[in-house]
Amino acid sequence: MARISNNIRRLRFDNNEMTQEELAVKAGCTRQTIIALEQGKYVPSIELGFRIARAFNVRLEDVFQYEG
Amino acid sequence: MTFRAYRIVKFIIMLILVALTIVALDYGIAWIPIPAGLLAVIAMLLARRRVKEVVVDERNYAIANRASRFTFQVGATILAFIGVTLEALNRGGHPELHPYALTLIYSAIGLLVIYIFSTLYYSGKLGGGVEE
Repeated sequence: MARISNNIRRLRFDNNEMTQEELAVKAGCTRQTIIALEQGKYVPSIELGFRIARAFNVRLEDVFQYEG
Repeated sequence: MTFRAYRIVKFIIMLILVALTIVALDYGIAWIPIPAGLLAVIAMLLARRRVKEVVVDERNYAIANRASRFTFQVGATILAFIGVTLEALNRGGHPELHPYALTLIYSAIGLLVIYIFSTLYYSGKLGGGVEE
């Protein structure tokens, strides 16, 4: 299991219940990737991490946490 | 166009192509499937260009990367194993197996060579080779 966790699901709901599809379009990835991220099965590249953070208008570390 | 719509369009194009091919062959007009196939490919490419959503992203590349690596490892191992087994049988009194053994062993070696050269190429492309 990944040692990097994320708050994507919570952030989606805090942002007017944004759908996974909407987030995928904003971040420029597939909906399957958003699903994998929320399930903690996939750790994104730094670039995608930044794009997701930008989609929520927050900092990278507000979305992802390193649990090393 | 969404990816879902594109898949439906692709399915319809394929259905038309298959139906056209069957009818053409039934009537003995064998040349029709060739331009029909080309038109189908062009139509699918045009439909694909209209898809707005992201269809392939870094996760797909990561999956393909792992799958390719696994395929290479398993494929090369199986080729080498069968090749060596056939060569052993060849030496045990089955000379007819020698060309098959050589083909499989050289295929495994060829795969390894391609792997080494592609690794060197991508190492250079992605950096990290020589300390500066």
